[in-house]
Amino acid sequence: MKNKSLQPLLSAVLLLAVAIIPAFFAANSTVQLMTKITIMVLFAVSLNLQLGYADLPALGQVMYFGFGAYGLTLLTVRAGFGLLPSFFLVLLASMVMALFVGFICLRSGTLFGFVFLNNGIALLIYSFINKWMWIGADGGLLGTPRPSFAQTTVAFHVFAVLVVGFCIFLLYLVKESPFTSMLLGCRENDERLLFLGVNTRNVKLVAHVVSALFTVVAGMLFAMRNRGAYPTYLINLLSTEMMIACILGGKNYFLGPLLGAVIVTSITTGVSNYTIYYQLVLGIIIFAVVYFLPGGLMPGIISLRKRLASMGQKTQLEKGS
Amino acid sequence: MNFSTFFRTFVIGISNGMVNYLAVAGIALIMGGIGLVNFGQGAYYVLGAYICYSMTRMFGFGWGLLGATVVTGLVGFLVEIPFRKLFGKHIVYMLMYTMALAYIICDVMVAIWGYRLVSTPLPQALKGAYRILGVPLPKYYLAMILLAALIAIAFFIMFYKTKLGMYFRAIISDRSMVECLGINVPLLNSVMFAISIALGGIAGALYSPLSGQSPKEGLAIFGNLMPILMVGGIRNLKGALPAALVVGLVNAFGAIYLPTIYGLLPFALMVLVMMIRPQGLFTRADEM
Repeated sequence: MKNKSLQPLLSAVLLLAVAIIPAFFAANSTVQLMTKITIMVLFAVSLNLQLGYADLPALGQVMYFGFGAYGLTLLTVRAGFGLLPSFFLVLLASMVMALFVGFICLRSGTLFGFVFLNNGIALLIYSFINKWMWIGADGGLLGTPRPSFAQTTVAFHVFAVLVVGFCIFLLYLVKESPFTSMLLGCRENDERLLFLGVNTRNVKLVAHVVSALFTVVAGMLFAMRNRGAYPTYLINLLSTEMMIACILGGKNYFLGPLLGAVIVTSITTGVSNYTIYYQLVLGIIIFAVVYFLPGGLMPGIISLRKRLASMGQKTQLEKGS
Repeated sequence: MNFSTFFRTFVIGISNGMVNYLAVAGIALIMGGIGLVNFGQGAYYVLGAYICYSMTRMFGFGWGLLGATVVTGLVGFLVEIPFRKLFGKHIVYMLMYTMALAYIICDVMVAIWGYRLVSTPLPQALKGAYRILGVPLPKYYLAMILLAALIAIAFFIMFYKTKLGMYFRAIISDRSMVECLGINVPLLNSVMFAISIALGGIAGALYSPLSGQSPKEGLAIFGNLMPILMVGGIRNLKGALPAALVVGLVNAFGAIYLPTIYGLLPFALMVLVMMIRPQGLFTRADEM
């Protein structure tokens, strides 16, 4: 029993070590890529709260990513707020926005209605930001500050990893809470929960808001990493990539999207350095995942580990006898 | 705004609406029949435009339109075959499938035609303008309305009067029953896909002389079609026509009155409609 409760802690420490330690030895460009991957991991894990647990394919999740980036940049650069107050202000504002957007999207009651409206609102915000001169139109907003102690690439990477780690810890707490079992109930049998007197729409709304909050954090980190907010953050391609990441990793596992995001982000970033046919590669990856790995990579890894563990037990038994 | 500007904007709005209606009718057909939203319809739209461009330069505009329809229809027929394995699975997989196809098609188009914007040269007969009520109207806009209306009528006749259309309607209302009657539903699905995607292709081909299209736009075009689907109501094949006209008019008048936020208006309309009538403007509540 004790062993079991220690396991998440162990894997968390291991993951943090893997994310942080190589940064001290790698080249600057590699560290920047690692920071990007770290941020995308948070995006994917937060998206998976909706996709995996609530069964809401939020194709427009990029709007929160962009909202975080633009909100933080606007408050710090234009309004002159400090970094910490603007961080919390953006979180608060995004909560209001997510409540509003989630309310509209869930109102139609159908899955397609949700997907379409979510996507539509994201497109609306994208084209709005792309045209509005006051916030830089398609040139973007420059000059997002980083915290004073995280100015260099490596220091910022460590900062990002710690923030992302903390957020994922919070998401883990959400996942372990009774709320998630209610969410799973919504996913599996909506009507039954309605019979039991649960307002399933509200449960989904809460999932949407929580997921949005963490995506906003990812967006803010990404703006800090690039020292600016650009309209490209709001292109739907990004949330498609993240959805692929969730499915590739295994959307029914907590760490699945983490694994998927690492793989997908490294492939997409790496491929775009070599060829202009980057969408083609992405398309082929999606095909491969949808056809050959619909459950994701995580089940395979778990069964592999179990097999290894049982082999270990066998050798122990043999030693004992 | 005087009458002449108003009338011209009206005609432009209607012509855009008619062309977009074709693409949306394609989406709505698959949506009803297979329960799949084709997020990649924009890719076929652009594919149609490019094929029309190439064939027009070789043989002429009429052949260009025909070629675009036939080729996109064939592509649609082939695309359905690998999809069969995913039928009935979770919506995310279907969504990913259509998107992956759109990505691949867009990049293949980049490989063939490159990044440059192309626009189909107009035949001499369609250049110039007619005067109606004293207002000069470009001939091509009128021809576009006429052609799109003819195709839409043909589609409706196919859907409501022929045996094929009867099968389609039967599949939409009760799929397993049709299967039990010994009708080859997978083949019909392929045909349905072919028709739906050919409608998208011909919409792109019809629109191609007016504005240049780039292959990377493939996914953005779905953004133009989505408001129509939502305003008309998903699964509602009949509602798509008035919705397309409304969105086309909003677009055309928006471009004149509010040029700065012109691209936003259809989305704003969509969000507004969803807030007031989640089932769509042209769907009765009991039809959902």
